Amino acid sequence: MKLARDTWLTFQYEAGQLIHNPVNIAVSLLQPVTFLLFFTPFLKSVMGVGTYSGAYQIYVPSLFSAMGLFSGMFAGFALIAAIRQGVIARLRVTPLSRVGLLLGRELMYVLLISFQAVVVVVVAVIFGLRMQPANFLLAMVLLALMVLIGVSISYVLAILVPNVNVLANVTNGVTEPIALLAGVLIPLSVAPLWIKEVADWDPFGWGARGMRQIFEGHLGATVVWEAGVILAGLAAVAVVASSRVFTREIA
Amino acid sequence: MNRALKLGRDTWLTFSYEAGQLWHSPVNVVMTLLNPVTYLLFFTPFLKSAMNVRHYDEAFRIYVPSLFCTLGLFGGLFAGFALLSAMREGVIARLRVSPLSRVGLLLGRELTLVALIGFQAVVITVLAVALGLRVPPANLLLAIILLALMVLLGVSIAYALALSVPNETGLANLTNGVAQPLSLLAGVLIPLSVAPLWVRRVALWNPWAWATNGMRRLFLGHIGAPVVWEAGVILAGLAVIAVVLSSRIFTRENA
Repeated sequence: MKLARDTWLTFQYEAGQLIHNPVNIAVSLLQPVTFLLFFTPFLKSVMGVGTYSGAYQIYVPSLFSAMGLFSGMFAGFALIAAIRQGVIARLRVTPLSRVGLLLGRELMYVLLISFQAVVVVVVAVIFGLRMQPANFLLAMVLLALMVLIGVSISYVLAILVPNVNVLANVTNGVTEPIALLAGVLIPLSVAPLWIKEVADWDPFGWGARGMRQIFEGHLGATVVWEAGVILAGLAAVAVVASSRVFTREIA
Repeated sequence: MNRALKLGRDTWLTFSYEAGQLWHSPVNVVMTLLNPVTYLLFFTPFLKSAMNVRHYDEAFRIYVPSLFCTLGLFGGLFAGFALLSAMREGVIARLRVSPLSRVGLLLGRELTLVALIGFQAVVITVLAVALGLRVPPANLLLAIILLALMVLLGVSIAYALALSVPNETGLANLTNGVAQPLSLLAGVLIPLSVAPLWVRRVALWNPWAWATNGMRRLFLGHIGAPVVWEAGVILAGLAVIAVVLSSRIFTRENA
């Protein structure tokens, strides 16, 4: 009960900080919207898709995976900045639970990236995407799990590697291959066999494929619930691990 | 004549100083290779399948020029941040009290980036050759010349922007907002040749798209294709204008 309340308090505070910087939020939309507008036409041609609706059904899930992965995995830099500026230290003297402090921050990212996802989908719908609102909600659940995994891993890395330069290189070195092997540019379905076999070990690859089935309207496809189970399991493990590291190192 | 000689010498002095700085931080140089190597290894297979190409040789001939263009575009356009931090740290001010010419100071820095990105391109090519790429050395050399022009163009634009918008956050947003569409519309992921007609029409106004198309022709062995010399002329012209313009702004702001 206390944990939920503390999480909510932290979440409210962090979300408030976020809303007070609308320019930052708008800027965070620049890259996904650029890719949506200027990469989809290439994908439409190369995949031999007849309509833009079909092209967006293929690409929007990829874009969601990329957003979840990159925004999540780069969240550690903000945590380091908050630790350096003493924000975390000031909150530690309050009776807030440490885990609530961490979870609130993680959920703030889920909110931010969900907002970005809504904007991306609205733009895509304007340009021709057609899908059921219920399917979109289901895709958002997968996206939220991906964000939780990414942020938790990033927080663990940031706490264990507090040197910003090294952290940037480690994060980059890990995130780019995960993204490419998840098929965030060209879908895994057309990749060579060895890539598909490697991608079986990439949870974001599962997320991207699950979301793509959802966007194409195949809610009952096996990969949808498989992706859900894999992502939920990993998210639980990652959140618990990051809370442990955070309580041990910071509290 | 004397002035040209002095400019050449000052450019060389700045270049050897800056290149020496780079040389002393090999870890940073290696780190700049991380992203391009990752894309070379993990994006080429996707492109090979999507473009229906049978051998990795051909997939690399399509993708390595795209990767060169990405290196040149991003490596160039993001160079303004290093100039801003050099100005903040007083490096530029310290060199200004020396008798070095202002333009030499700028050109030397620009050429350092050309050398760095040329080095990255060589590493990428060696790796691609190890994995199956076959390209005639003369064609590769021409492609690297196009790349060098691209870098000069990008760096000069970046320096002009950094001097006009000396605020890191504003500069980052501006650069990102410009560089991403330029790169996508240059066909750096999926080649323009398979893009819809409207994208190809828009790309006609993108010098980096000309460069990518030209370099791809070179890698495919068509050294005589018109797009090769067209790209060379367009890039050389724009690079000269951009270098002159950035030198003017730099001398005015820093002289």
